[in-house]
Amino acid sequence: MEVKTLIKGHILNEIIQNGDLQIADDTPLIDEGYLTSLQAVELVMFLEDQFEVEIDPIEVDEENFRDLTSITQLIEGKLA
Amino acid sequence: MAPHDLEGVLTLYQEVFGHAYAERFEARFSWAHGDNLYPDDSPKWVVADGDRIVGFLAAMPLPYTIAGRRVIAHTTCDYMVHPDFRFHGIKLMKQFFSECENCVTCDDIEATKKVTEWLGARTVTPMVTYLKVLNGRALAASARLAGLPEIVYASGTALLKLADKALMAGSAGIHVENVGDFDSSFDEFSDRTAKNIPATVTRDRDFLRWRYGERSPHSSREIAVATSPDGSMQGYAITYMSSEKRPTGYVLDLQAERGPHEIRATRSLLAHAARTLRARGAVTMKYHAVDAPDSTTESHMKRMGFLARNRTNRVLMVKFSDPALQEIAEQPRNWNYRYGDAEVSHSLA
Repeated sequence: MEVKTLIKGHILNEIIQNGDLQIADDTPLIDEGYLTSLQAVELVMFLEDQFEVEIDPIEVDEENFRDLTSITQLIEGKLA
Repeated sequence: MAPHDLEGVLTLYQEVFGHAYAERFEARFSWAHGDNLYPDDSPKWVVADGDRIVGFLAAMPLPYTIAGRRVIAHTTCDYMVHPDFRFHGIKLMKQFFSECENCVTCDDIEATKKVTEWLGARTVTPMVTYLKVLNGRALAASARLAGLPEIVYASGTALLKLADKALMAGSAGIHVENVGDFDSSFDEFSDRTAKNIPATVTRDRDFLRWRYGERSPHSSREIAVATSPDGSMQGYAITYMSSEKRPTGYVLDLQAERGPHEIRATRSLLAHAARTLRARGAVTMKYHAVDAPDSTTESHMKRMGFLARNRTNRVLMVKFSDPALQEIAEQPRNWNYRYGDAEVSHSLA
């Protein structure tokens, strides 16, 4: 399954816990309050586990976790 | 954090928790971060949205003795973020871990614990709680506690006092009395006892005078000292009456030197604490600590009439830059760590 689809599914079902919510690729997850520090950590743990990558705490910032597109780009960059 | 940011910090706190809590917070913040043992090593950071402070973290330095070495470790003592900016808590925690070499923390907030662990701290163990009923009839009026025999609820103070005499017997030869302040004997006691404990807060006179001093949140504490027949200090206990809805006495710290007098000193100190707290109207008495292989193990506490409650959500976590210290600090059995040592106790009213 596509990286973005997997990430989006996890964010909706496990992080936001609302599978019916509509989020766009550029929905600002932090500014909209969907991603707290706890949820960001939980998302990082999922991403590391799911994609077998390592995410340094220094990479967990507003730029890399701004929206679905930026998170996907972070992971795809590591997978490349 | 610049000095002028303090106003923004207080404004944020008041916005989230209300005016009454904010007043107490201001006094406690000043004591914890301006009046502590190492004021020049008390880093603080803020997150701002324009001119408005939306988050802060103030790290408190404390002295520890780990494997005989005295080190300073910081705790994320005061840390909060406005609900609309909760992602940015990570920024503050990352700053803490990048600037503070060592961390010892005991927190009860799940989000904080998770972020702390993610940034490299290791969970050592949760605190355990022991509870003793001092007035059963008064307790019955407000609560039913799991695991407590019904007869306790029918027992007034007289009957429970009698039971305590039997339960806490075996303290012959130990004298306990209240003292007004921490004198040099506490330094000697701290030096003597730290030799036998792999990991502990360094509770010398300076630490105790700050932690339980005039400006601390628990300045109305009582200090009881136990001595053996030759006058040598065998231990001490620090108790505090909380102004909670149901009057509750807390044993914030309890120390007894490991050795031939240890069990008797602990019994004597706890018996004294029960008497004085009961006399002050406490309905129950609580003792929270990290389990230690000393005279406050569960079996000892139960024999003295304490009920062991569930392990709490207050969890000790550590991160030391020196791997040798980290290895020692990660072992629960190495620690002597009491409720009064933990930043989570500072907000006990």
